[in-house]
Amino acid sequence: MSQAKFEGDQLIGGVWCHQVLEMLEAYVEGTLSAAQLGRLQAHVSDCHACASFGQSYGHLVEVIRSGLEEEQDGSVFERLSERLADVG
Amino acid sequence: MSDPEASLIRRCAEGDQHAFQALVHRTQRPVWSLIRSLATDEGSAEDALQETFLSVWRSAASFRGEGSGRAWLFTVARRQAIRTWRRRVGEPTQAVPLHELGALAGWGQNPEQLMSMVDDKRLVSTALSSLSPTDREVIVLCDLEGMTGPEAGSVLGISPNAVRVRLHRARLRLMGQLREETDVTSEV
Repeated sequence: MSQAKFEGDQLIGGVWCHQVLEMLEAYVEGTLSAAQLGRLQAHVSDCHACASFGQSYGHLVEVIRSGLEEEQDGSVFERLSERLADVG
Repeated sequence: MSDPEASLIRRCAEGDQHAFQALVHRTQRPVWSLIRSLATDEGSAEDALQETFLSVWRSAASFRGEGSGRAWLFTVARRQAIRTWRRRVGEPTQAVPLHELGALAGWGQNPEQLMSMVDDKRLVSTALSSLSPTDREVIVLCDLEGMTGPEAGSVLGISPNAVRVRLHRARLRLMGQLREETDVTSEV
């Protein structure tokens, strides 16, 4: 039987907040079973902390997947091309 | 399933220079992204990038096609990076309980602040660069490069399940780092 692991850890819908935290990755990847998903949804519908944190977590993944503004110095690839010119 | 990188690597193994150029052109940016995630300095990162592709050309015949071409290529790049910096990249970082990582990441904190910091791509980039190489590389492979768990697992030498665990913890550390960056920024 699980129990609270930190201050504010609540048992809602048969699931603790810390268990929601454990399930977040699977939730974002869509790999939770229907039963797990149902329990998670029951919890977050009554738990503002988990709902907002889960939303931010999911949004972070979306933001990274949409591509980050990496400084791409094109000269790196020009020098790579020069270095590889004699390959073969 | 179509695997353009695998086809190009096979043609490289036959000495096809055009295929090699196409492979370099197609993959140089994601490979650079992975190498930079493991790098200690830009100069040696560039050496590692060049050595990676030279190694790809020399060892293309060793590609057996058991995994995807992209996973093989990233494995070569990762090995090169480890060789360059002689660091123990990929070692699990200290095992902090997940709920502590959650608290550092802002669980139970101001949701508006969390959402706005996540929205700032420049801030996310900066926070990502502050993570450990182990955390950075799993985010680069899975989230930036879109690798599946088995693909990333073959690059990192761990099981797909271990990839998911590592990825989740790395994302939480990234959120924690974002909070730190936001605090620093708001203090300036």
